[in-house]
Amino acid sequence: MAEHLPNDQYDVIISSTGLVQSLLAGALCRVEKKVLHLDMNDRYGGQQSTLNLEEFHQFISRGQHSTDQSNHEKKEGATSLTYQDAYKILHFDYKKKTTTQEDTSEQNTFRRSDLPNDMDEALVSQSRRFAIDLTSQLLFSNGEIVQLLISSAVGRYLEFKCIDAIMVYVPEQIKKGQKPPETLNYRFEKVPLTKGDIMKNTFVSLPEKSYLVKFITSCMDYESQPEFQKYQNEPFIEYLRAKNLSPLLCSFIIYAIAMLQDEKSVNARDGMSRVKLFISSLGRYGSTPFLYPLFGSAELNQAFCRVAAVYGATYVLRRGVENVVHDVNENVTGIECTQGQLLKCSSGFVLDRDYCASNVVVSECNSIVRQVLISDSALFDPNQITGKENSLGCAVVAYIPPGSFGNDQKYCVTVMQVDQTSSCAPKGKFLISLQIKRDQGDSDEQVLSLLKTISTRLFESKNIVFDDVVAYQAVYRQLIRSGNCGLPAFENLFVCDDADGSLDYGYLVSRAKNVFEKLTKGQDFEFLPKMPNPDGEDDQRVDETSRLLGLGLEEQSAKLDQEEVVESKDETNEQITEEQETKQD
Amino acid sequence: MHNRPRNRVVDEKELDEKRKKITKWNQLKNQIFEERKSGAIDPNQLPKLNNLILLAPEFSSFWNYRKEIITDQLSQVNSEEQKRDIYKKELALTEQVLSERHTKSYLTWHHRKWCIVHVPDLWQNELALTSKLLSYDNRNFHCWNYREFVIKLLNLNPNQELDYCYSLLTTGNEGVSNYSAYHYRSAMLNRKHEEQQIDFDQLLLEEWDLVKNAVFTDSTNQSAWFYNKWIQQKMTHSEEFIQDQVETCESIIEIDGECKWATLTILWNEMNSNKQLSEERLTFLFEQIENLIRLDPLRKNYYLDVKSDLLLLHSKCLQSDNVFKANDLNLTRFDAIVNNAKYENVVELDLSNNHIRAIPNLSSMKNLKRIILDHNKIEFLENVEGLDYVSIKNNQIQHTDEKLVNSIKKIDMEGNPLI
Repeated sequence: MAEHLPNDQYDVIISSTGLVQSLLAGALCRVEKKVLHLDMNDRYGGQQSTLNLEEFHQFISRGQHSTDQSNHEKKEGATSLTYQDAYKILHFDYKKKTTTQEDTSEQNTFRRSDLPNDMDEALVSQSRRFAIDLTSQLLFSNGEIVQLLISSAVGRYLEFKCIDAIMVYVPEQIKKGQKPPETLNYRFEKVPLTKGDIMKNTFVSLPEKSYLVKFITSCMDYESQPEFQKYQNEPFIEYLRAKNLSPLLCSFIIYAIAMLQDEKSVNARDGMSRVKLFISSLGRYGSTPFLYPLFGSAELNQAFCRVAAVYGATYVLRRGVENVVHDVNENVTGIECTQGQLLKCSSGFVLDRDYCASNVVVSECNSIVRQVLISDSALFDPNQITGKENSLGCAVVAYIPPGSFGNDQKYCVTVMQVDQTSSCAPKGKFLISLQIKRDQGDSDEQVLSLLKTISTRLFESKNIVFDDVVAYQAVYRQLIRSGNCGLPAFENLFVCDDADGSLDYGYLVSRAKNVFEKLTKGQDFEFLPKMPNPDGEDDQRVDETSRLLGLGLEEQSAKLDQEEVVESKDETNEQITEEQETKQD
Repeated sequence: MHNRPRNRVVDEKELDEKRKKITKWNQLKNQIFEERKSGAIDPNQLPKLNNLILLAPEFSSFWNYRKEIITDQLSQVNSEEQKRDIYKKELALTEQVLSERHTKSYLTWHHRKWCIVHVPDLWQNELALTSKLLSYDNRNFHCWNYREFVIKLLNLNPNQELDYCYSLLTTGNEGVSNYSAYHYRSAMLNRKHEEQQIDFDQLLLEEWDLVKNAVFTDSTNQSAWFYNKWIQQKMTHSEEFIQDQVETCESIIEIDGECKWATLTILWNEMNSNKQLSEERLTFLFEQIENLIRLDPLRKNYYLDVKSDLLLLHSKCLQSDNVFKANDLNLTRFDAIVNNAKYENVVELDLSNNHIRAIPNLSSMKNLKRIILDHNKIEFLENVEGLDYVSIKNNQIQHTDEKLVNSIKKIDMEGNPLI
């Protein structure tokens, strides 16, 4: 739409529909601020977007999206912005049409798809059934985002799946007295988290079971323990060893529970606070502490945008920001959007790191490299994971500790597998993603090759040939930008950092609340108060005893006339009998 | 709560509603009784009883009235299918009662049993029903008993039930202490042993493996330890098994620092063992008993009894002339001597200056002639009929039985607070 907006005066203008911005939009609208929410893309979600196969392929084949405004004339009171998204595509390929499919391609002249003509028909016809996340994200069952979804009643719009299993890639256990073999066999083992899981686990030794249970139980009040006092500022792994945790258990705790990228980077204090967050979410909705939204992560963003829209926000997609307009007091007064319209904001402007001042473009920093696969075979067999025969599917998150695939693997690889049970793939197909952190200055080729090796070998260990089952593969790099990005530090200009690859939402929610507080300075508003229920209050019910006795709310007289009573009793009894009969059918 | 006065604010409106309900209930109940008295044994009465049963499932008259009507109905109906339908209606009612939170109603379960025997095609379903109810409350013994009843009807392989118990035990955080599941396993093991002729000791060893996993996972979980006590008792004496038990318990104590149940299990095992214990070992075990008394002062007397048993079993108090003398040892009981074949030939028993509280049944000590129990804490003179000499000075006896005293040749009861 190249039209100008009819209204050009707002309280807050927000750019990009990432989670922080969506939360903000919802929260601001609930306290009656006028919000304009723009997004450069033609979809909601920002960096947490979820795309179907067609959209994903467009994203992949287009490559990095950027617009350079540096050649615009410099205006007084306006800072020109450059837009550059965080993505660099490293590799992609897909299964081509078979010759039989080619022969019938004539029939598809009316196919309205933007997928390449030589792509396998099965993929093309099911393109809409895929929900591919741009970055892996999970909700802690007892974390900030779930508490917010409940308190605001926004959770009403959404459905979730509890992750079925958390796995870690570990070497085989060597029994006491046995000589370690030349090459260790590695495989994925499920992390046992409940006492029941631990009891039936055959991989963990008996004493390890005891130490693991003690550790999990103690982590709800670890601060008071003297051992913790001693090790607080020491490396986390030293503290774990002091608690008699074996290397296997340390792997479980560091990579699966604390969800760290490597074992050295964190001290005991930070490590334990992460452990506590994980453990306190256990058992709330299932045996793992994670929820995943059906249809992908962007559902969350969309739900909050929906709230904002219901409460009066204006949404415009495919519209970006070219200039930021400000006054002499260094307050942002508005923006000039890509359609050339000047839009004013009285309270503030929120944007993300896709924008930076025109002369400052970041191309190198730490990043996340992600490999997305569409496969006919699962890496984690749903029957084994759920323990049921003929299981429909599962959702699994797994970790490959650093060094498992050689010294080149400096960081932990996070693997996720979802399928039709998360409404992310059609029946019979699996969406597998591998994600690893990449340091600034490392080579793209090296990380690409590492991910390819890992995914190929993982399939091999199940006697599956990668090329036989993988119908679509894409590898891309996402920058983790932070810092000033060259914009002047206006008080009412707020920048949202890039997603940093951590699976949970805690940081994003805090950031949204933080900006909200600043934007509504001094007014002490509640962040996303409860939405009223559209269905109305529950009806007044007759209490059970009265109902069974045949006494109703509408009973007028206290007089217990014999005939009257017999009649009403029979009526209700007939009802019961009818119900019973229908029950038996 | 005890000792707290009930100060409920009296709400007239509430009371009035209650009165209304009571009046209605009485009226309906009396009506039913009258109708029955006047001979109304017909199916039309059944619907009237439904609501009343839902309200008060433990009011037996209504269930019995139903049984009367049903039995009458059944005698008038010919086809098997019609009969089954009648039973199915009853089952539906019991199910409704159970699902309305009356899951522990004796009469409802009884009525269900009464009906289900006649409806074989629903037996398999019953398992699913009990599973569901057990998932809400895994200690509902009505449900467990009913399940066992159905298993017998179905003649199911106990292996399936053992698997079911296993899945209950390994679910969530609470499963590991599911006392009922362990107990049910023991019942299933008995069946498995009988039906499949598998060596019981072999089955017990598998259970011990299960217990090992349970107690390492949670060493404070007493359900598993109690189950182990049963395993221990049933296991025919195997030194290897006892050794394994003791080592496992010692590992747990090492990891935990101290564990009451592991210590107690070691003691139970050592008492079962036929091995003669060394002085060193005995001293160690007595230390453990002191530990237990410190850890668990509420059960001090029990631990003192255990200590007495241990002392007597491994004592060197039997002299060459078949006199057993054990004084000043703080013994609280001497049952361990009585049932032990080692002491069959004892002629004289001297246990003065201890803390013994009662005289056990001495009939297995066929050669016993004389017993000396001075300076103890005995309250009742019993089990000493026909002995030559009983010295029971300075105890706590208040009454004597004339017949008993006359049967003893010589008795010394000085220093007792006789009334």
